[in-house]
Amino acid sequence: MTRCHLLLSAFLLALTAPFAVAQQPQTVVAAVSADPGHLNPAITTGSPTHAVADSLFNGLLSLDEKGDPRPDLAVRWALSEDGLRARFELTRDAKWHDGRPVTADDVKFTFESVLLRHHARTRASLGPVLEAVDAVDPATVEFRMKRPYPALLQQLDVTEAPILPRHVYGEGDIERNPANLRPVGSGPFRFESYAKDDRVVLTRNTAYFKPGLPRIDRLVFRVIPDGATQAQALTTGEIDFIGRVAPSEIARLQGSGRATLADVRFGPGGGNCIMTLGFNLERPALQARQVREAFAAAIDRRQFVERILVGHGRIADAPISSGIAWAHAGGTFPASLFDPARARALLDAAGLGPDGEGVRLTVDLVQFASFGRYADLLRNQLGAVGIRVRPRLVDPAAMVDAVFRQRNFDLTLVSYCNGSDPEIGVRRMYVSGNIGNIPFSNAAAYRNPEVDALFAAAGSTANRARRAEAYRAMQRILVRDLPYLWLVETDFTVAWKADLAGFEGWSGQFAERAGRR
Amino acid sequence: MGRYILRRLIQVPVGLFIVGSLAFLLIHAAPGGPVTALSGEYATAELRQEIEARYGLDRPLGERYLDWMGRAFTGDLGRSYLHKAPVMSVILERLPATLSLVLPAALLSLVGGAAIGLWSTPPPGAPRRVLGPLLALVGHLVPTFWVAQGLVLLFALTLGWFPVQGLDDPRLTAPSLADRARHLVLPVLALSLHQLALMALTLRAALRLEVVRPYMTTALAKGLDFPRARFSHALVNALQPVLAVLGGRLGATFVGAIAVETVFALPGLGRLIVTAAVNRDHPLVLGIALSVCAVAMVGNLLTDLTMNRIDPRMAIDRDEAHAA
Repeated sequence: MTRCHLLLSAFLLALTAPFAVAQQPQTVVAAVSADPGHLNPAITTGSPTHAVADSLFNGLLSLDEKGDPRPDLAVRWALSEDGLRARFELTRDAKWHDGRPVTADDVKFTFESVLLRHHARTRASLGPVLEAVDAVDPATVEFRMKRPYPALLQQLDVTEAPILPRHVYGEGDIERNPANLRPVGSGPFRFESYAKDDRVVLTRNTAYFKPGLPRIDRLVFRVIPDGATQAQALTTGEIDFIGRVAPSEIARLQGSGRATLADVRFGPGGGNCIMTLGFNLERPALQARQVREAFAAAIDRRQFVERILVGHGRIADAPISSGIAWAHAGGTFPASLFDPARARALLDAAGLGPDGEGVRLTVDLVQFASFGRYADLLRNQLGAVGIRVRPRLVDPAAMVDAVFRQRNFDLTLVSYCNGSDPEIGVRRMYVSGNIGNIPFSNAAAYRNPEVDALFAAAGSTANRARRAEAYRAMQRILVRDLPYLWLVETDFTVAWKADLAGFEGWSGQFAERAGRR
Repeated sequence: MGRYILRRLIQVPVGLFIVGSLAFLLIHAAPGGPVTALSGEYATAELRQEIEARYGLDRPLGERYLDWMGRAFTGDLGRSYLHKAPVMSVILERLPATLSLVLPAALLSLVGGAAIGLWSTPPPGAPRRVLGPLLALVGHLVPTFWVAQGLVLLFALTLGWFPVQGLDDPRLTAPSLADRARHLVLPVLALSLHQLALMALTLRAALRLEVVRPYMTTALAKGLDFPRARFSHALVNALQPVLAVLGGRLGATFVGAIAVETVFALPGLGRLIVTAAVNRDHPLVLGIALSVCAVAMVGNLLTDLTMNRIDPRMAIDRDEAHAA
């Protein structure tokens, strides 16, 4: 019996003993929420792929924290006066991970044969305006446009337009290219191994064209689907970086004293997001503007910032995000609209008096299950003025089907990410040409020729002052018409182990400059 | 016996056909399709149509069903929309993680459950031992998800004995068996508790009937002490209903694996089916359904054969007689 006990305790001791063997000091382990599936960022906008694969590639440009362009593969760039030509000079030091040089021909191939066909966002934004990409010489590319496109420089970073080597991805159906699982890029890290649903291991690109970068030797991505598990693993030191901390875990990480937290407005694949309540304007009950104004007066948006975002965001005081400062018409949709008495009066005036149970109107609310806490608050606040809300919490595929295909909903809650320019993420939710079976299009089915004309005007000039004027006028009309209610601007919270520094959480290449503090 | 096995094996493809057809109907009855996951947030109408054409989603449902079923019977489960790889290889990649979780958990629940079941069956007339069964009952009632969270809270976060997640430490450059074992302790405990409790409860119920039978009296009269007689005589006879219960619960283990793999971020089949279903990756969902079903059917067959081995009076002979 004693021997048995001894053996048992020896076994337990061996299991729990800390492991000091072969610890690599310069490994950074980053948590990602979902398996990337494949590692070709040019054929998808899926954030699980981009969260990992963007570190393997480069764009022509990258974006700084404010969303302004800075050099990546291109060291210099110039736009022509008429806005129809943009010329980029590539660095001559950049090499693919297999040693061959990065050339203008690779850029031409990537845009014309891959991005404009397979990358949904770049296809939607550049597809209609890009005439051709010309390789002027091995280190110079020129974009020829059909009309001026003001958001061009915001569309060329590694998330929107990662550049691929033609000699690796150029043959056959790109969806079946074996390099999608064994990628060859030019980025700060090179591919080492990928175990599905478990991890992707990258190593330092010792021949990287940016001197002194990257600073870490290995970058490991661990797939950890649960936000609570991610936060726990960061506090125990099992991982070093979380790209998007679940709001419910922020307090835990702050309290642990082991993590540095930072709020960013951008993440790979989206940014400047506004949590938006959309009215189905095809439903008779919601067609009266008075009724929609009553919804606006019944909702206390401060509570959303305090209770759900716990301070990591702000009230959306205009239809365009304050992150696009030059286009944002701040104060057009102020917090002071909250006035429950006025909401009741408006409903009375619209002929919606309370029934025996105090209910004036019953509406359903179709939304992602993951936004459940928003549904709770909306139900409480709207319920207080006699609007009964019936939430239908579903998964993304079912939500898109109900809202955009069947149009079977009264209200829907969508996180519309505005991106770095209104052309990218704002236009799609208001123009009348974008209604129907298209995910995350104009959910309200809002049609206003005046608004269509203002978007057309703002989208066909590179003059920022004229564009700003058009967007401001457009926002005043939107607040008057209220096809949507803009609830809160949401930030992403990034966290990393306190002894590290240099992470750029807003960028796909978040670890390019990271290292020990 | 040979004919019996042959007949049972013939039932497997029939069962798979029925399950496959039902699963096909169910996944296509779910609202929405794979386009949302494939196109992302900023798609155009044109891109949606292109995706539908590329994956054949624009064809009539009946045609797609016949096509899929025809291929499935030749062993071709198709390609996953999202993983852009053959379904079978996507499934096989996840198998090692699931097996390294499920097999130790099965062993632990069998041995641990048997120990508790035996210990809580006292000789006839002795005071009843309620602690074991009570704990087992609680273990059986608490959802696996909670158990997993509780174990993490106590042993990983508070005591710091075991890691919170993962199959191994990604900082190690060479795989280490001890590291792997250390990572598996909490997930295996969490997954086995439910089955262990069930094993303990059924075995105890069966043993209580066995220990009062005349052969036990004979054994004790011959001078065998009670624990030994309980182990070598009563246990064999009591195992039969226990196996019948446990053998049919492979599906429950799989559901438990979904929760455990999610909490501990393990790269297994349980998590694969959740993401496949959420993304409406039809070929992958169907492939997993068929594979799990095939394993369950073979598992049931093995259970029946084992039971026949333990007790030759079992149904097989009578079955044969009826069939003849």
